[in-house]
Amino acid sequence: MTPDSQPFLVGSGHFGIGFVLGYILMFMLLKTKSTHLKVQLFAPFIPFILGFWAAIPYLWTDSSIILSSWLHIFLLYPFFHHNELFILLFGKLNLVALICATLYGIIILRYIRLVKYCRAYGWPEGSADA
Amino acid sequence: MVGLRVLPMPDKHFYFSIGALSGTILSYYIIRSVNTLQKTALIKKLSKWQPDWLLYFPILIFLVGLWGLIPDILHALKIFPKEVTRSEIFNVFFMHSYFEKIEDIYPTIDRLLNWTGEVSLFSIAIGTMCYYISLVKKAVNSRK
Repeated sequence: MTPDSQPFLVGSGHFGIGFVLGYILMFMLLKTKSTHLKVQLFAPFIPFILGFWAAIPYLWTDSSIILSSWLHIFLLYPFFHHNELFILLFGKLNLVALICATLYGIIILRYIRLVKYCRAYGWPEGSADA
Repeated sequence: MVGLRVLPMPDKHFYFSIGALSGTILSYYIIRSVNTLQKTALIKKLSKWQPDWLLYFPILIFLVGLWGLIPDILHALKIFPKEVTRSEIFNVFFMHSYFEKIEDIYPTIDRLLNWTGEVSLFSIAIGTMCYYISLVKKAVNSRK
């Protein structure tokens, strides 16, 4: 059985789910708090934090047994672990890498735009909290 | 006879991480030497075309990282079989053939190298973001 065809998600799959959810959260935060410089600077760390948090149980759980329900605090780990839809989307390492790399590229482009903006205009005094 | 598929092999992100690490070191030296490089004709042309060219250094990290994946890309596109991409000449892609052989024999080293690759990529990603944050803060402070 190849890693790609296992009936459960490996660590990278859980990381990918956390990363994507974190990206959506980051996006919403950046839109609602667009005048807060600290949000603009540090919100992009949310996908990494959530991705890491979601993958933690993979370090010690045995994928062949039924997972304890308390593991749901790790971003619904048992729910995603054997879910066929998410195994289809996040079960292949190459696809997870492609999704995460694309979202990361968008984050970097955002930072580049922010640097260019701040070099040209600074940050509005009234909302500056950096 | 045990097939190659059963033996542990380094995941692709290990080779990409070696390239990404090399690209990061190269980017670091370019950023450090930017004043000297600005005097060269190539960088002068680049600066004319894109004044903020230095901000796009992650492209260099990505391209150098891709260099490490070339043997696997050639194999995935069915251009060369695995036996060819494991030949000595492919060591030019960050010692690809050497690591493939080492990790066939030692599964522990395979896991260790994969883990090292993951940690390296994670660190490079976070480090790059921290660098941009420092640039933003510098820009904001300089305009106060």
